[in-house]
Formats: sequence, C-alpha cells, structure tokens
Amino acid sequence: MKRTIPLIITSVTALVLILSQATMLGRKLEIPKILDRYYLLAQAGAFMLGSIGRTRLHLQNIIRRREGYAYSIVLLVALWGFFILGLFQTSNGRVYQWVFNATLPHLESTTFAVIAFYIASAAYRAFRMRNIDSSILLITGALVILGSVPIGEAMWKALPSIKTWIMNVPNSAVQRGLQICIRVGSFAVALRVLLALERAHVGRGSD
Amino acid sequence: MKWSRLSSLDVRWIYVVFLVVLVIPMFRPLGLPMSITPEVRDYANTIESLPPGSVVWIGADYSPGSAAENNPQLAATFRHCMMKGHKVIILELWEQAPDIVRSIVDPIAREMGKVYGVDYVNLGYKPGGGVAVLAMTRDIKTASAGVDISGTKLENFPLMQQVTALQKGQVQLVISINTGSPGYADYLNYVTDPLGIPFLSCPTAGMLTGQMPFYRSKQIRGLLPGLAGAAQYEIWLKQPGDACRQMDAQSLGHLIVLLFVALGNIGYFASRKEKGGASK
Amino acid sequence: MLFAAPATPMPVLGIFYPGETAGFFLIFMLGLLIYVFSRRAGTGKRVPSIRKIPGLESIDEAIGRATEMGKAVHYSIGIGGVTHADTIASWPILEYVARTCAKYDTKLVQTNRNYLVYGVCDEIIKQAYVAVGKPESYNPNDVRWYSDSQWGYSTAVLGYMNRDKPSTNFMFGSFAAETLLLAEAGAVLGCMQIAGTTNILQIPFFVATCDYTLLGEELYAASAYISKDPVLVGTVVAQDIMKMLIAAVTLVGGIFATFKADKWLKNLFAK
Repeated sequence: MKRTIPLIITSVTALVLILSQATMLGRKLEIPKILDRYYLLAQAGAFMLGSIGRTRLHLQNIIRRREGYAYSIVLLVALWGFFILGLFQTSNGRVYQWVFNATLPHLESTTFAVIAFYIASAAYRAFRMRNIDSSILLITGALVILGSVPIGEAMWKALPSIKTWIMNVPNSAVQRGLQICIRVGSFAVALRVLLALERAHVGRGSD
Repeated sequence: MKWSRLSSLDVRWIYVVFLVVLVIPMFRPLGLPMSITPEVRDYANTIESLPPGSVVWIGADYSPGSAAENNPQLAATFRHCMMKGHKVIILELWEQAPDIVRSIVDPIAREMGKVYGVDYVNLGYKPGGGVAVLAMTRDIKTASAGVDISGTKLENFPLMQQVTALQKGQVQLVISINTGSPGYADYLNYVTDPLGIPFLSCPTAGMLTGQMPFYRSKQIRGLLPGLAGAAQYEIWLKQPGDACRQMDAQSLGHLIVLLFVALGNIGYFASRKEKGGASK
Repeated sequence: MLFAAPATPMPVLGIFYPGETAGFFLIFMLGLLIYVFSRRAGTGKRVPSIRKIPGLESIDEAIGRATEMGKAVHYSIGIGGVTHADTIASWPILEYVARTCAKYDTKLVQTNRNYLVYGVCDEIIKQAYVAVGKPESYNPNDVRWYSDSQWGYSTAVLGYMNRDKPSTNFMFGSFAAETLLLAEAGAVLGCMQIAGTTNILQIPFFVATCDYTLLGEELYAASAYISKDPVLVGTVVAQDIMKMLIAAVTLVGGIFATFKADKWLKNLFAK
C-alpha cells in the first residue's frame, strides 16, 4: 500500500492532466490552472520546511562550536533577518529593496563571472589534439571563438562568415537531432511514470 | 626550457593573466571595427519595419548573473522601439528581473521624453513561467492581478486600455531577452507558433547554439547573440554604448583563451616527444 | 466599445481541442509501443538490448576509487524540480550509487537545490541503506538541501567540495549555467567525474571536464540499463522505434516540402 497509493495518485493525476490539455471538456474545466496553484503552494511550503531544517543544523553547529560556526551565525542572521524584514515591509518596502539590491545581484553576478575564468582553465586542460576527433573539436572551437569577436574579424575577414556557417549548418543539424531524441526520451520517461513502470522515487521496500 | 611544463601550468596563472587582459581595455579601448551579422540585421530590420505605434511585447527573463549580456540588449532594443514610436509592454518571468529592467528602461524613457503608461508599461514579475505567458494570451488584467510593477491599476494606463491580451491583433511583435528557463521556449510554444505573432530573441552567447535551429526555420525572425549581438545592434542604430565598450575586453579574453590552449598543446606534444625519447 | 466574447473553437473528432489531436495520438502511439514491447520483454520474448554506455559502466570503478582512497562520493542531482524528466531519470542511478556505497561503507554526500527533490532523495538513500542491511550507517546530515537559489546552491557545493575533497563526483540531472562551476571545481581537485544531463548547452562543459559523460537521452536509458529489468528495456526499445518513426516523417515531410507539396502534412499535424 505504501508504494501502490503514490503510484496510483501519480498515474491518475498524469492522465487527468493529459486529458485536460487535449480535450474540449478538459480545457473548459481548467484543471492545470487549479493544480498549478497547489503546486506553487507546495513549493512555498517545501521551501519553509527546508529553511527550518537548515536552521536546526546550523544551530547545532553554533551550540557545539563546530569548525566554521561563525558562518552558521551569518547564514541564520541573513536567512531569518531578511524573512522578518519581508514580513513587515513586503517586497516593495524601501529597506527590503535596498538590502536585496545591495546583496543578491552583486553576489549572483560575481558567481556567474567566475564561470569565465573556469572556461579558460577548462579549455586549457581539455582542448588537446590527442586524436582526430579532439583536433576537429579544437579547430572548430577556435574558429567560432575568434569569429564571434571583432579581433577575429580584424585577423581574417572571412572568420565571421565561417562562424555563421558552422552555427547555421552543422550546429543546427546536430541540435535538431539531439532535441528530437531528448524530447522523445523525456516523453517516454513521463509515460513510464504514468504507467507506474518508473518506481525509484517510491523505493523498493515492501508494501 | 622544458616545454612539456606548459601542459601542466598552475591554473591560477591563467586566472591572473585573464583578469589583467580583461581589465586593460576598460581603460585603453582598442576601438576594433565590427561588422553586422545576418541574424542581427534581421533583428533590427524586423523592429524597423513595424509601422509606428505598433505594440511590442518584451519578455525580460534574466537575472543579475547574465545582466552583463542582457542589459545592453534590452537597452538597445528599448531605445530602438522608442525611436520608432512603438509602444512597449514588458513582462518579467524571473523574480530578480524587475529592478534590473527598471534601472535600464526608465532612464532611457526619461531621456527620450517618453511617458510611462502611454508609451510603455512594465507589468513586473509574474510567477509560473509558461503558465503566466499562456494566461497573458487570454487576459492581461487577470494574469497580472490587474496591477503593474508598482501596484498601480492597469486601467489607469491608456496603453493597457488599448491592449487587453497578448493576441495577434493587439500585439505586433514579441521579443524575449533570455538566459534560460522560463524564457524564449515559453513564448515559442504559447505565442509564436499558435498565435502567429513574429518573435525575436536575445539570448546570452552560450544559448545561441540552441536557438539557431529556430532562426533557420524562421520561427525566430532575428537574434541578438550575447554582448557581441548587442554591440552590433548599437552600431546599426549608430548609438554605440556599453556593449561596444565591452567588446574589446571580450575580444582579448577570447584571444587569451586560445593562447593558453595553444600553450597547452605545445606542452602536450613536447611531453609526448619526451616520453617517446625516454622509451627509446 | 463592445468586446465580443471569444468564439469557442470547434472540437476535432468531437472531443479534442484544436491543435492537440496529433499530440494526443503521439502519446497514445508511444504508450501502445511501450505496452507492446514491455509485454514482449515481460513474457521472455527477445527484445533488442541496450548498447554499452561507458559512463554507467564506470560507476562501480568510481565508487571503488573513493573506497580505496577513504574519501567521499559526492552526488549532485542538479537544479531541476520533481517534474523534470532529468531528475526522475537520475533517481534510479542515485539508488544504485547509494546501494553500492552502503555495501562498501563509502561515505555518500548528496546535495540538492529543490526541497521536494531533497525529500525524495533522502528516502531513496535511506531505503538503499536499509535494503543492504546497514540502516545504522545512514547519516541524514549527508543528504543536504543547500538553497533554492541556483548560485546559492552551486557556491555551497563548491565550498563543500573544497573542504571535504571528495574523490568522486557524480552529476546526473538537470543542470544549467552552474555546470562548469561544479565540474571544473571537481576537475581541479582531481575528482573522478561522471555526469549526465539532457541540457544540450551544458553537455560540452561536462565533456570538457568529466571523465565520462552521458550524452542526451543516455540518461533516460539509465534506469533500464542499471536494473536490466526487461520491462524497462522494452520501454527504451519503444522509445527508439518512436524516434525512427519521427525521423521517417521528417524525411517524408522534407521531400514534400522541397517540392512545395507539404500542406496536407502540416494540416494533419495542426489538427
């Protein structure tokens, strides 16, 4: 029962959602719109549960003075301080907006910018002419990298056109093939869940 | 010199050199010329060919992480629309986008003497991704809870009295400035294909490969790929701005990456030769 | 000004909403193929086998490496939610990894971005330890939810990897821009890395930084590959036949479109 009930709920819900999208009656009842609201509520509730779980863990770190407990203090102050601020001010409040704009965009931009450095070190390590395949990868990559920027065009006028051809022809062909296969694959995974053939998420324990 | 050492450089040297190379052009621009690629030309011409007063829907679906690429795209696009006298409605599907968007479009509107509510409206952030877009195609007022980004009722704005839904007769062009999901795919699925409204996309450079097939099949009429696309667009508009300024840094950055790749390969071949020599 | 109520569209075949019929029949056709091949496999009849997938074959080797070095195995399920096909496809792999780690007493640290996914992963790992007969070895602190923010999650994982220095890093699931951050950090630390995602834009980063990468829908075949369950293998065969049918339709459509005679085909799929 412990495994069967969740599987039945999953299958029935999936079938209802498919029919609500495909049939006239389903569209009229607007079932996905109703379910989407509950899904958003579940996400919000889950986020709250996660915050409480994290708080418990970090409180233990602080109480037991584990290594790095100072960071746990920072985390809890940031998490609950901002939450309480949002309760009093809502997301349109001046202080709330100021704290949000002063911290999150800059932290996110910095983390995203680190990727640029990682690309440089990953390319240095990975682009080696070990065999024909990796040589083709290296040459194509070099043509696209240089063809995308003005310095490449200054070095060789034809580079932007070559880059455009690579993006338009081989790239588009491969993208289309991969996308079709991936969509059919995700389609099949969804059907496996609907038909209760995919059971890893309900475990292998006894009913 | 042992050339094989080049294949195992400490990556921190790569980071330092990369940083220095990116910073220098900020102070000493190179001023390299750029030509305009066909996809950018198509993008600009699509906006240019709309009759003045057309309604353009902009989906600004990105976060501060990709703002370095997406902000110049939004700025150039919004400026072009205002220059042509088009009306713009902006919707954000990412929760951190509204403040970034406001900081970009409001100063441009003020500079060009445009009026909020008449020439443009910002609907703000709406959760749900594709569901929000679908809801907008039915009724904007219901989908946006009847208010804009500041909480002002939509019926106070003349533009929103004219446009009640994201539908073909009311909106003449949809543009998505995107960096992931939700983003262009939601507009393609719910607006472009079913409703037949022309669609333009401004992806970050990393997302370009995924959107080229749609450009080839004309589902996307034009593309502004990343910072380079924004810079080309600024040149097309004859209004060089932030994107053009940053292209020099990007050029040198790309060159440095290839230089290190070359050094790595020299080191690799040298170490292979050494191993071959040692085994003899 | 009078606003006319939007006209109700005419149903297709009496029940279907216009534009949805073709999609529904595709779902029905795939469902039928899955049923046929699952039945064939379930009753012992011969079905084609799945070819070797190096990434999945190397999971044991990667866990063995961690066991010998006395270090942890890190498993990231990505940033997708419970509705992502990639996340669902990653769960059987996680179950297998958890069982193997439990069997060899290797520490497994599993990190999550989505709390609903965390709940499922926690149960999967707990059940794996129980199934192997070592429920006391399960440590709930090793299954972690860090943050709902993409960058918050990825920087937390970076911090964990730099402190704990796991010897093996598995990344199976839905990944976006944080791919290179996680994979390159593992590469710099010298981890053995096996990864899989269907996000085409991120696969090149995995290929450049990981020892083995599952390309595209190899991830979706994982549950069948690992379990060797004939019924699941049958579903993978059905999926491949569906792809061949789509390829055939694409070819036929391309030929007709070349001679500008494809209107009937477009109308068929527009219904």
